Amino acid sequence: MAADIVLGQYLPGDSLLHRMDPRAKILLSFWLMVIVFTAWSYISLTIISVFTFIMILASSIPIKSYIRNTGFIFAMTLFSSFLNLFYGVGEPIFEWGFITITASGIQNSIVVAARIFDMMMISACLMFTTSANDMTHGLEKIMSPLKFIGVDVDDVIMMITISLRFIPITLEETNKIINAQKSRGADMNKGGPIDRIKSFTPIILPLFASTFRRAYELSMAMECRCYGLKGSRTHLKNFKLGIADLFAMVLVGLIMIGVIFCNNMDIAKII
Amino acid sequence: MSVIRAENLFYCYNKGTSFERCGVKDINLSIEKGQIIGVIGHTGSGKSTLAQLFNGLIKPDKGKVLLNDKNIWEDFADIRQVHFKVGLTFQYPEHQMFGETVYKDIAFGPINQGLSGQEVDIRVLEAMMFAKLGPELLNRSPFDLSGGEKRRVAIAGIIAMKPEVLILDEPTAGLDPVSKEGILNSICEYHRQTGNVIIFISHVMEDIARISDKVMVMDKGNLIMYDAPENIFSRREELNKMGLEVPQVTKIINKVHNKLDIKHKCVITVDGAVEDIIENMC
Amino acid sequence: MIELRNVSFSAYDEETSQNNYILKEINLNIYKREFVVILGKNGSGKSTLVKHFNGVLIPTSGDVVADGINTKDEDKFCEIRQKIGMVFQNPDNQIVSSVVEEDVAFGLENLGIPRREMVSLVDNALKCVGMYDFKKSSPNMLSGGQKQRIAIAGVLAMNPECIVFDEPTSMLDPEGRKEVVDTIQNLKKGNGTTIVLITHNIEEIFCADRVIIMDSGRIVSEVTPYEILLDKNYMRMLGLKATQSIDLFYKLAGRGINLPFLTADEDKCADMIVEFLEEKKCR
Repeated sequence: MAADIVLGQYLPGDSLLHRMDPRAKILLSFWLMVIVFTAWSYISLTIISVFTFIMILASSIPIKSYIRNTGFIFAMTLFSSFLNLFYGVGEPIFEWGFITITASGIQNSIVVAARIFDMMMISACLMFTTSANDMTHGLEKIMSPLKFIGVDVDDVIMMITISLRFIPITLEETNKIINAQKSRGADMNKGGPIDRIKSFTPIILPLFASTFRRAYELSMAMECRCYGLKGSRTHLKNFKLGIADLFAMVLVGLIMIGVIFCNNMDIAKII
Repeated sequence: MSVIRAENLFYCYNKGTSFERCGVKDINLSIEKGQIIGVIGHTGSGKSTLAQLFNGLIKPDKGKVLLNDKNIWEDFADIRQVHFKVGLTFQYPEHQMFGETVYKDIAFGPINQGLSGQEVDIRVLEAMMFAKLGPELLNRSPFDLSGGEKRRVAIAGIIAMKPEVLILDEPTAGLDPVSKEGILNSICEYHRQTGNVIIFISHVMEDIARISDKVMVMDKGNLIMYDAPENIFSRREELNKMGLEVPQVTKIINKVHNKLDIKHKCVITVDGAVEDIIENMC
Repeated sequence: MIELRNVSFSAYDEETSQNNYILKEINLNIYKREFVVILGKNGSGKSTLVKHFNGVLIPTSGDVVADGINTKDEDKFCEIRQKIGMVFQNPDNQIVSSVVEEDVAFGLENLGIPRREMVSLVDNALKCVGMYDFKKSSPNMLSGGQKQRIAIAGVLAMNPECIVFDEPTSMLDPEGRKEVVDTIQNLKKGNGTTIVLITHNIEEIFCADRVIIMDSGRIVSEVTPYEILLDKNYMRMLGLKATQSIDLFYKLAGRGINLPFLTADEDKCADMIVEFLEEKKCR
């Protein structure tokens, strides 16, 4: 059932973050990530990590979902920060055989772990609280200045919109074709690599045929509704910046100032 | 002897998520040899799920499907043989065609069965005969055929596997009336010649009334009725509640009986209606 | 409203390497507020014909004038398509957006209608097809009939004077078919929209003012819906399937029972039989 396939990682809800303007969300998330990378002291990293944690709470999405959806990358992060532990320079704190651990190694691993963790959580937060459709429209608005340098934003966004609508339909169709060929005895896990590639023909070919048919019919329907005939399109979807957005902007602004300030403090500065 | 039997059959989609929805709930039934079974039900009532359970494409969560008294999931490796024995055509089967020629498309099933070249040729020609496709079409591309012919090729592809049971999921949907009639006649002809069980899923009550020996009524995953068509269509109010209609003659004769205070008798075919009117004349 | 003068349309056939005529010298007028049904076998050129109405296809020879605009006038393509909307067979393949209201607004966005006006136009169109409650839904969650009604709303929002329906019910279940047929009839009654309908379904022709019959690229005759029923040859030629009430009429006639008139409507048919039996009954 197409209805059962949910695109992206959007988890419906009505939290403060869900209600925020997608434009603000996208831009602020991006800005926050930049800040994460400019954080050079333990205190500034702590500030951002605390803020990230507050964001997770404000999204009213269970922490379980964050862990489940980011589990793999999270494990990778831990691993890479663990490796960083052994590549420090300077006075060794600990030595055993060929393993040497230095203070800078420890610092590096903490910093890498904290940064990647924060970035992951910020982007997960954006994905979880913004529907694919809102994301598209948000991007559309953000990218609209590109029109002046000749990028056809409208067409790009139209392509994304149509993909969003037809990906679930195509997935369902693929499923149906696989089932139909299976019920005619198609076996896709047999023989060598060439046999296997061959055995996909009965699936790929009808899928192509049906996708082209859909594309043809859809373009006809779009043409009948005047797509591309007039110069500039208008948009039904409209976003308004609300108090929540302003509040978020102020907060991120404060964080930025805090981070810059703490970066320049001597205490707890990362070597 | 029953050809297909279902015992306490359950199947749910999206298990373990908040979208969980049961396609089929606690179904018990038995289909006897040589019957044509009509299946009716609102869109999403579980008809197609049931078809896929019979064919072994999906494994029941609970319960058993027995083909000739043998549980089809008894031996996991044998499930492909079940696909061959219980042929299933999906809705709009022409959308799943891929062969460069009509021959290659119809031969796909028999080749997968491991038959020799000669046997495959015989199967293809036989199936084309059943589907009323002339041998001149053998080397044509299936994509150049008319809508009705494409549908026939797709159905022939299933018949060529010589299934013991043929399941047709809305075989006439989306076609023009002439092609519909042709396919319906082919189905009856195929049944007359082979005597195989046919399970026929359709929304057209007139067709169901015309060809089925027994009718299944599905609603929200449950099997509500399983009976002779006369008995099914005499329960008009219950059917209406499930969003289902009865054949037009049934409605006409019902109304006549009501107005004239004649004892109700369920009529489901035009010929039956003519007889009923003449009977009531004097 | 739409005027076709000597319209022919041909396409190049690679196999025979010659031009194949799909439409041959068609003259046709469709008047304002009319309900026209076009019947014909598959391949008779019905779909090709209606695609000329809004300039999706341009005649090889002859002219199509829609509301005073010749469809050859490229500058006015948009105007023609705004005036003459089109709804197709497969509901899935004409919906663009994953949110119902945004899809209905698609045409308006293309026309460059300001947002303020758009909102009420979209809401009205959705109310008109009875889908207002679903405006924030995803089309993937809807039934075939509902999706087709969304497609109709999308055309309706552009405020067309005429809507062309190309077999809009052939892929729907009986319930969806009824929803769509009711919606089309409401358009005719409520909005006075001119309607052109291609169908194979005999029940759908009775609300028509006029039935145009096509065969191998020509218009062979123009009749009333009732005349189609009377002439068995029409039914056969057009490949229509008689309703059981019509079959019953002919079969009773074969047994010497003549009902007063042919109908596809079960209630009228039942009334006639009741009347007949009451006369015959020995009381």
